[in-house]
Amino acid sequence: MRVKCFHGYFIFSETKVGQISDFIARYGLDIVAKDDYYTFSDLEDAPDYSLTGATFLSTVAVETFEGKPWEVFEANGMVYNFSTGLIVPIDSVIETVQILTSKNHFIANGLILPGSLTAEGLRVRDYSAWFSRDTLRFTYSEVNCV
Amino acid sequence: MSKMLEATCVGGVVTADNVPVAADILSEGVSQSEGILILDGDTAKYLAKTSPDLKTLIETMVTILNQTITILTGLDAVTVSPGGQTAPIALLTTMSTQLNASKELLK
Repeated sequence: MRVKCFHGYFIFSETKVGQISDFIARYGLDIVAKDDYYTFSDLEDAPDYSLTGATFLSTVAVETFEGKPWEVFEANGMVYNFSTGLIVPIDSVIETVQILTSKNHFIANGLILPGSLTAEGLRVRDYSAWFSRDTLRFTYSEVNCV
Repeated sequence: MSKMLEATCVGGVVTADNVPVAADILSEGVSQSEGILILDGDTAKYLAKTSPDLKTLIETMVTILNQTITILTGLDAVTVSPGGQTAPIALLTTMSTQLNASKELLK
């Protein structure tokens, strides 16, 4: 199963039938189908626009912007905190993450919370990961920080 | 792909989803209006519905025409009047009727 985090917005996709349902059953996460991908149920109704000062999911937008949900997240500097189920400013995330470099990929302990601080003091904003049902681990092929 | 939202504008302030929005106003934006807020990326533009303005304008013109017809009819009827204005007055009446009907056909 592939997990893409775009500016704090999540897209799950299957490479084999049943991976999503297995993942949901194992971790109890609330993941739902949307368009041609899966995402957290909290993000299911993420609008494709934001108006400064207007409610945007669980927060208030700081920018007027139209685009894909992840583009709206980026414009507003927001990320989805799947631990709390809330949309939060990326700068407000206090979690840290240790990202280890392997031969041709990165390794972290579990699914990285977007906005997490790395050892270098940068914030993780985007990543692409693969979840293995065999090892129950996430392997990251790409991690972008700001 | 752009997004269109219903909006209003009063005194140059555009409001959509109950919040004021910094948008370029493509109409005059002076009088209160209803219209559409067009969002495209970080660009926001407000377009007012102009048909209410046109309808009001037509109604005003019809009122002026009818008042003119009344005055001319009165003048044409007095004994010192040169008379003979029945046809032009009838034409004005026809124009007034046509103008009045046009406000119901605005696109």
